Amino acid sequence: MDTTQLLKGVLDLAVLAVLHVEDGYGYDVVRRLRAAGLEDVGDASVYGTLRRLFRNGKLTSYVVPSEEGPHRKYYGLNRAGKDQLEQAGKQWRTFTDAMDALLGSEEAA
Amino acid sequence: MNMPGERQDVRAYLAAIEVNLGDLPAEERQDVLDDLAAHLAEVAAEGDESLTSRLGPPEAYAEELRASAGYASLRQEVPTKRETWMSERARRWWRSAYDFLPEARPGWWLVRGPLAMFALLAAARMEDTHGFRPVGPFGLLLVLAVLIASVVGSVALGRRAAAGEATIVSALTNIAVVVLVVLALGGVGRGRHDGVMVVEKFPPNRIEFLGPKVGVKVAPAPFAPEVVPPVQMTTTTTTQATTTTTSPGTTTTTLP
Repeated sequence: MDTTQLLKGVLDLAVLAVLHVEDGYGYDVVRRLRAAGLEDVGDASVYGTLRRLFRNGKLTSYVVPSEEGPHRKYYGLNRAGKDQLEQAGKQWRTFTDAMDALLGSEEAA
Repeated sequence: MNMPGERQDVRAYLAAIEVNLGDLPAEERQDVLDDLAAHLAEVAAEGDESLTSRLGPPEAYAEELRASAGYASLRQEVPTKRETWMSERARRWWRSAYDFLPEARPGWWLVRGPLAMFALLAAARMEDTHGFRPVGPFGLLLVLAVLIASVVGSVALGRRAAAGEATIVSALTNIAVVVLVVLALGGVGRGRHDGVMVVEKFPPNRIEFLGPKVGVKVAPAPFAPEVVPPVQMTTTTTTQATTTTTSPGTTTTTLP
């Protein structure tokens, strides 16, 4: 199955989960997602998702100046973002439980 | 440490993306580009490959960014006809008015019954007939009963139409009501002062919509003549109505 299709549905949740652990800037979030196993995640998709979540009021952002290069914009979760993470997380677990049950019953049969 | 070649690569990539985001509001675009500048620099510093080979062509990158960020796709940016001639404010007003229409629908159901009845009364008064006119209290009760029945029926029909059934009947009913109203206003019965329509062609033009048995005071403009029969047109007027002038320039018309 093409994982890009799966990813489109859950990238919001993945990004929120990553930011919940620790605030991050764009490339940092991409790296952490890939390290967690989502190797196919697209660079531009992560950026777009960050922008959209920010525009919809789920993230805070702040700039950290850096001596070596351009300053970095960090994103973090705000109250609304945490709520959405919790909501979407619950939905995800319900969904995966259902899928596991289906797949499990497939094997049993 | 950034090599000059890398910096050039990043700049070129960034510039190409900037072109692709040209339609975004300036602030949003700048935010995105600021983020990307740092990001692309890091990506470029990681390896020897060019940005294009690592991330794909900048146009594709921008397109993917737009999609996940919820901006409209650049390819679909052709504005609809309405967008091109309506200003932003007009569009917002239209949107709010348009959104209100579903709420106004039940009001239409209430109104269309009595509206149709008035229109019928207006249209029915023609040259030698008196049309439909309530006679005595029993007649009035009859009119009221029909009125209530029409409202109830109209609401029932409306609700069924909203639920998706009887849409043809509902559409025909609406058309019929509109046609009746247009006919009544437009001149069936125009010029008859025992009709429901009184049209004064004498300046200024005025159209009064009267219900049955309702008297209306007409206050004309300063230069109207003293005695003004309700109709100044060439058609012969019947003598059904009594016209009294109470004071210079004021005409009262009562219908029998």
